[in-house]
Amino acid sequence: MPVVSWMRRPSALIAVVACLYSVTVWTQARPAAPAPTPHDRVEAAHEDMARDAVDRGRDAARLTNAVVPPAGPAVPLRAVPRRNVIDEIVFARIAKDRVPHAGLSSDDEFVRRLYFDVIGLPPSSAEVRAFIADPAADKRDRLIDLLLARDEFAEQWAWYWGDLLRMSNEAGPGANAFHYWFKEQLAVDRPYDRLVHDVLTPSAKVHATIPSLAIIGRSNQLKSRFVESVDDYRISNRLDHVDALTIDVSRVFLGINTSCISCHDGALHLEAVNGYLADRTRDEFFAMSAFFGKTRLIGNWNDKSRNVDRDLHVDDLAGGYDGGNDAPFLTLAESQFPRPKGSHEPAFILTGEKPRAGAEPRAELARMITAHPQFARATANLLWGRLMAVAFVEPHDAFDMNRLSGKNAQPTSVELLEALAGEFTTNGFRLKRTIRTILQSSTYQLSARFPGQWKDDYIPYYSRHFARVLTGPEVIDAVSTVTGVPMAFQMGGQTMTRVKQLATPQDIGRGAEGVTVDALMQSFFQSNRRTPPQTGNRPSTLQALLMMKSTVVNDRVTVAAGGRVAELVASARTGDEIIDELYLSTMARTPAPAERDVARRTLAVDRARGTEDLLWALLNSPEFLVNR
Amino acid sequence: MDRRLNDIIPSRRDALRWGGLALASTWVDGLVWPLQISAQGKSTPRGTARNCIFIELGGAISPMDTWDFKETRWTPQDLDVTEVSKGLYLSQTLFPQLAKNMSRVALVRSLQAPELIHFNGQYHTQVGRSLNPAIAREIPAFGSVVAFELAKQRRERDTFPTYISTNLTKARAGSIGAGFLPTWTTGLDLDPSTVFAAFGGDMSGANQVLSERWRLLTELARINEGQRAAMGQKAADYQTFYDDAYKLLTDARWPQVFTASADDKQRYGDDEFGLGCILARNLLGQNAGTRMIYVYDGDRWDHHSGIFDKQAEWNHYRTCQRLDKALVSLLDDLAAMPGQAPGKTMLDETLIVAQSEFGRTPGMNPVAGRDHYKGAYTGLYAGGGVAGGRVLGKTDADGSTCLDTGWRHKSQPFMDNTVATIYSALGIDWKKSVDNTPSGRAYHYVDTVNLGGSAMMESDEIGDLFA
Repeated sequence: MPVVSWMRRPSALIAVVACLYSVTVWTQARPAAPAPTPHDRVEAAHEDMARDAVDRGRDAARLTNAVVPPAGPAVPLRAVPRRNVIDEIVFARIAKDRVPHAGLSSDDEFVRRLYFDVIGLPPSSAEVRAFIADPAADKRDRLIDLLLARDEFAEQWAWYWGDLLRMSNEAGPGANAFHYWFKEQLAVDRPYDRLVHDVLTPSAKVHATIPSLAIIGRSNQLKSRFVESVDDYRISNRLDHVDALTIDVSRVFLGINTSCISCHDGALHLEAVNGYLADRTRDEFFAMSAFFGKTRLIGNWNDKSRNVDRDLHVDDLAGGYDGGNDAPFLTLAESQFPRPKGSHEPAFILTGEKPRAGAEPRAELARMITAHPQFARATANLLWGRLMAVAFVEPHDAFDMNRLSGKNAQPTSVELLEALAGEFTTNGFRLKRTIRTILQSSTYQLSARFPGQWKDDYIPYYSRHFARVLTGPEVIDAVSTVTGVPMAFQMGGQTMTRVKQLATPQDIGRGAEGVTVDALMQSFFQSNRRTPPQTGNRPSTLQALLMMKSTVVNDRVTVAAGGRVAELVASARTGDEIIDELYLSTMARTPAPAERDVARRTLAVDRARGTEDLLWALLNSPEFLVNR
Repeated sequence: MDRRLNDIIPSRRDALRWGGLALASTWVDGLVWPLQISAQGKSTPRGTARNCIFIELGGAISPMDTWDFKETRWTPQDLDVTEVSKGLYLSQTLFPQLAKNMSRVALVRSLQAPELIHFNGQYHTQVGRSLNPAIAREIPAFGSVVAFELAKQRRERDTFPTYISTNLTKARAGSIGAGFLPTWTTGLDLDPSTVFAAFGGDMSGANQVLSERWRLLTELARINEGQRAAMGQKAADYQTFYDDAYKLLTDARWPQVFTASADDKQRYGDDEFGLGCILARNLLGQNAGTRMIYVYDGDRWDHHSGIFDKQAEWNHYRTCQRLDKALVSLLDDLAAMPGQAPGKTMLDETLIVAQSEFGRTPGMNPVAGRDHYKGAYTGLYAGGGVAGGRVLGKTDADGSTCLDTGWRHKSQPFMDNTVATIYSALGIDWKKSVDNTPSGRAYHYVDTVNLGGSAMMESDEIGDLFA
């Protein structure tokens, strides 16, 4: 399904698609444009759509296709507590269709999963011990609240939104400001509709002065390295810029990718792709984009660099959305699919509503978006997909408004999506609250261990938890946390120890670790945010190659690194205690007897070497790399 | 674990009836089930090559400034164009070495493309058919099909993946995977700018430690097999990938691939493309299982402006000269390496193809560049049985219209036919189709209907390329 394009200008592009194996490096100061990007929206729109089509659903069915001997009698559904509306709906459906299901996760499964999902870090051995030993009946709920309150929650989820909104370093200084702003919003659980308003409405002489304006001010849509002069036709087509903005906004906040209809009517193109969009016209898209019709985005021409600076002036003093205007600055999209002359008045694509007289169009757009049920649906879909590994609609911007319900409904569970969207709306659009609701449900807390023969038909029932491969940042942060050898990224004069403390993937930097961290993160499908995010959640040979060989791992498990291994080896702890420590901090469990035997033998040969080797082996285990 | 697939495989139901067994996840994984192949035996593959190197000239090379030369009022004076053979003109400035070697290569000047957009075009090039978003998720790269087909020829000692690509993550379409084919057919993509450091050099010390740790890892993995399986296919898949990775890392031939002498770099060029060609040569030279190599040259050909502007960082002079040295060095080096069969060279046994996703406009645009054009473009072929010096197809005075399709059909060939040619050369029956794809839509190795095009396509190889 189409994913909106961000790109209009050449800049470094690294596309990560499919089951990838590659040792890649992307750093900030690459030679200019190592590979050209789609230099206009046409390219980008088709690239997004095609890339998504290539990725989408590729592994959805591969998630859970194991042949597992039955572990014992299946847990009866009535034994699993119904915590909230999610469980009511999910279990009713499972019972009705007699779908086999997993039991509740064990404490060790749950604690590790929760930590990774909520804060993107593994629990320490002490935290695991404490949680397992806690006799309180409500310990899971308390842990959920504890983790939601941590700073790292904001980091983990701000990073995710950074991926969604493609905040790369192309946004210039605005990227950092935006990142911090977004983290603050998450930390206080500010209603998401207010965030949307703040993102869409501001004006500024220099866009970086208002953090939320980074979306509108993302200057990658203006900047070109091949600009010859201020009259160069490649600098900007204002309407192309606002079109790209409209596409972004619809994509993330409404879950609808309008990039296709930004160039042509849906008819004769999208019938096999999206029924709703097949009926939409380019005029309807223009009308949607016309909410930005008065928005001026003026880049500052820099005589010295002979280019347009990243700073943008944003105001609402333009004349309106008129296809006859803004020539002769043409982009290829404009030249291939020129806009017909004539102006368009704003109208919200989903309802046709026009802005009220005298009201500011951008504020009206924010109002209309957040008032529409699709806003809640799209957001609920994002949250659910993030936590459950399989969203109601995949990818997140592929909603077909004609298939929200009924026989050919698109969502994996129509009823649950509506209920969750309703919950999100009722609680005032608070992300954390809805996340909590999901986390508290037994559905979320089901085990990934499925007794019996799994069938892909069961996927929409969510009758087990779907294990997912860790994301790039999670892997890096987990490795550095577990080994006790922190990262040291320099950002804004400060040293950051976690990837998720950074604002963009490009902040990894060019230092020695930067290159290797980049490569490892990319192998786990971290996108560079200049292109649509790839579907992660897949293992690959490259990951194996890098985890075994990369200095990120190998240099951290040594005694010489002065981290956890050194501490354990030098301490008075027995071999068994060391083994327990390593298992608890990586797998959130103690070793099985057979594992303990192997580990004991390893440590008995040489305590230091054995500890190094054991930790290395644990970090290279699927159980470590997979969040179950 | 036996990774050889043949057409006689128990049905999935049978396989599962063996029930409870953690079947070798190499061939029972994810979406894969025994493939129902049909329409076999309708083509006669010529089997003149063992290997294939496909060089994607990303961004679309301009035919009328290179291999289908047309002199126009915009042609710079310094191109030094000569007639290297009858009707074949080439700029000595742009291709100093190739101009002397045109008798070793063949050209097809009548290619056509259905796409005008890089992503779609580069997808088409990598996959051998037009993008169909509805089923794209299951469509494999043609390199994966080659890996699948040649799997039965793999020897015990082969540790390298059959299909390796270079620089593809930088491609517009990225690296397309295996689609519905088994995961192990996915190409291993190497980034030339980092792999030499990462995998080259003396690995013996590192591998000593690695092998000890690997033993430990394997022991623990064996204990945990059930645990992994219970978590789902992804966790189980990791074992396969780790096994493959370890075999690679400890194979003494692997670091050999990542060595490039100063002379190599000088001859091929020390950039992503030159290094990619060196990797291709080395991979074939190590004879460790790699037989299909896809070299992505880095998308430098998209000259929408200033095609001959010497001030521009990547102008045509630079891109052509870069191609020139790497390509001819590759031809020379492969010709000097022995092949498998007695009396044959590696070049005799390796089909080399250099092709773009589409062509460029015959007329110059207002910024002294050329835009995308699908009516006619040119591909270059060498080795693997190709008759050197042959020029198939002809375009009109400015290169906009094809006058002679160059093969026995009235319609011009597509990239799909290039793929048919590659399959044929490698001995693969290109008229096969797989019926039980996930979508239910039959996957023809070479499509017969061009998606988005108007007419039926010829699903034929370009046989006239061969001696």
